[in-house]
Amino acid sequence: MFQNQIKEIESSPTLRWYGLALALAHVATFFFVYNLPNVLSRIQNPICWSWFSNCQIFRFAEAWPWQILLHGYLALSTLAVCASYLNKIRLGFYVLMACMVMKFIGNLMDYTFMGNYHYMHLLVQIAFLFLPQKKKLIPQLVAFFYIAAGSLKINPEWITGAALTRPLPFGDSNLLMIACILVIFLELFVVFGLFAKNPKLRWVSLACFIIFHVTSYFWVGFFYPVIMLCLISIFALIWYKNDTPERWVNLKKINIFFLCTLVVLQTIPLFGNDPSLFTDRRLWSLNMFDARTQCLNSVILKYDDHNTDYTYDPKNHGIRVQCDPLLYRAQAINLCRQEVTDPNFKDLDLVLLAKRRTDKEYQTITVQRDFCAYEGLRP
Amino acid sequence: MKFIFYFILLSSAIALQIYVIKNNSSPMNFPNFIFSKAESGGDSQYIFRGGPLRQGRYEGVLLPTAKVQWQSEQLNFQIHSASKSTPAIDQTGIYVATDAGWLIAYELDSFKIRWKWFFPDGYGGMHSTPVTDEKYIYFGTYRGKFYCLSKADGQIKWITHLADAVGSSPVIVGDSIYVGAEFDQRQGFLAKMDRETGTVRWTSQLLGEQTHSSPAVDIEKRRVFIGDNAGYVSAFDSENGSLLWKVEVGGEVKGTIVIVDHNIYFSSWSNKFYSISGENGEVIWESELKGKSQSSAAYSEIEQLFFVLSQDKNALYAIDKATGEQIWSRRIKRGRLGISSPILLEESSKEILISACEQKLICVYNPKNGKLLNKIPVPAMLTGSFSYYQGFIFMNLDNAGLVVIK
Repeated sequence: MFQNQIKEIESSPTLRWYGLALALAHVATFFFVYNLPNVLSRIQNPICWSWFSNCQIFRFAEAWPWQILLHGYLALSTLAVCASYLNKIRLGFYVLMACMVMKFIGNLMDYTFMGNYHYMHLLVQIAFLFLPQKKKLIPQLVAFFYIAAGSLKINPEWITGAALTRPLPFGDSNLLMIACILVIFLELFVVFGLFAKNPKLRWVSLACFIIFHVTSYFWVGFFYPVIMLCLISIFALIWYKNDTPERWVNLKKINIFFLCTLVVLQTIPLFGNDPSLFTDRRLWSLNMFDARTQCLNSVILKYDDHNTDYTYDPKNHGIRVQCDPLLYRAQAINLCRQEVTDPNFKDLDLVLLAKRRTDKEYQTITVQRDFCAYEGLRP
Repeated sequence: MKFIFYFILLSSAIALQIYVIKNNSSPMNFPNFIFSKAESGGDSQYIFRGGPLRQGRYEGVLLPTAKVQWQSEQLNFQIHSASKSTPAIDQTGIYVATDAGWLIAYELDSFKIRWKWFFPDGYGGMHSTPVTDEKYIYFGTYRGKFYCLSKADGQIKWITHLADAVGSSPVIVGDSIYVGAEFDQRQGFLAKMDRETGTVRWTSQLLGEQTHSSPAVDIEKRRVFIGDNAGYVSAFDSENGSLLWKVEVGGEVKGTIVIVDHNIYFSSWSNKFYSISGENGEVIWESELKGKSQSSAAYSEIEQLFFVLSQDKNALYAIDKATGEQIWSRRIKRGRLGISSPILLEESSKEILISACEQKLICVYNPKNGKLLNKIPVPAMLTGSFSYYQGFIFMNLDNAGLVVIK
């Protein structure tokens, strides 16, 4: 079934080594999600994706089965790396596919596992494993990621540096702004240097991106830079192996359809409310460092003899989801399931206000009275 | 050529964003959710320490036969060492905030519970005293949220998230509420909020430390005063929140400031009780105490005396308003009851002073000479203050609950 894909990889040393890079990204993922067994074994309080709100029924209630699966994932990732290194393309191909499927299922098991690093890795693997013209398609796909990310950064939140979780070492607000603007130019302008005919210009452009990702470690940790370095290695490989396509256009229809679909997915969030605050429309798109939101939440639990205002503390979760309404909806669903067994429990009201750091006013994101009845969770 | 055009386009987009940034300053903002406006709240009914001047003085009398008439189940569990909240009382009921995170409304005639709210998230529940008007009750929690509830049925009207904690007791003046709030990173401020909606009208500049003090308001002179844990007292314009003056007193100011004749009086952890000009912050006099103090003073108009407690070598002092001279003092038992605050009851030119004096004892004194008039046993220690309403004294005790003395 995948003979053509395997043949394309076998015929190109570039793609063989790129497969190794994609497999290395899975190894890095293992170290990033080491806490996965503890998270996924919490079947009482799952944070499910909004379209999969019963994810807990697919979870083991204890951590050890997840530990086994996670280590199995590491073993497969390592096998994929070795297979690529030893030029066992067919084996590496199928093992990489298995790793991709395992990682994707893992991401589906909990909404807090969402993240651009997983999203981009998945898309590149889809292109690598299932689509033709890989050496032409994948570089354009990676460049598209940068363009989409840069586009998301043209807003006060990023330009002022408010989106950063830590200040720059030199602290000066003007220097910070300059640095943030340079990142936009990198992603929206320098990115085209990766396709320049002049080799020096290409390598300098790539060097800029490498420096950017390495320095970003101080804000985003090790995982994001490692993933990105793995993904952009395609450029170094095709240049080093003198495998640069003659022309970047003339993509096959399937590839054009793939890229167009991605473009559409990135544009859906642009219509309607601020996608950084109202996150449902960006479930299938990139959501880069565009907003560090602030929020107020109240979950008002109503009982026969008293009421409770429970404020959910989002600090247990990553910055990107701390004010995500889907997170609070999932938590409210968990509370409904937990409390409906109490005969005194009536229902709960869910309130969430949020804003970007640079916004003046808070917006009402969610107000749902009698949430449990609304979600059909009251008997 | 294409790239030059693209570069110009990109630069223009960024320049536009920079223009937006420059024209869009972002002051502190506060998430505020309005379930429904708290309209027509009416006059203020209960304010901690008797009103915006915080003089700790009430009209009424306590009979020599006073004793505990009723007590609730245990409400406080010494989860936090701060003074317990004082019950808020008016004609609609008794409202008690606890260190376990409960706000409970009791019926005034039967002491039955009308409604209860639980705020589970903040460490240490609630320690500030709520304020009420005719229809609503307003209060803050150690989670940093400030609420308005309907007194009749406990329905939430609005919530404003002010900071990381609200330990200050609010005060209503007109259609506004003044309250202190604080951040975990050892910072605090004074806020003025709209009573109907909870929106923040202004916040003072940051005080430099947390504030556990409750603001006092001189309505006539348009001044609001508040102390902080950096050892300063600040005066702000009540209309716009601008700083009028700030004076250092060398020790935390945790108690409530008292206003008399437009000057302010307060105790401090610097082991002193101060009189300071409300006009310009000049120190009028200082009175040495035998220990640090965070007690809120009570003021006798008749005797022209302030009554305040100190910790360490616990004592109750009577201090002359004009000179700061200590007219008399009484030793009280060691322990945390030194952080409690006395009150004065006055009727027909007769006054009595009520203060905690032992771990499980409330003492009634003659304010003029400190003569002990009565002792009332209570179930536990008082670290907060008293409320008085129509012949009843209400207390919210450490490691106990609401106690009613008649």
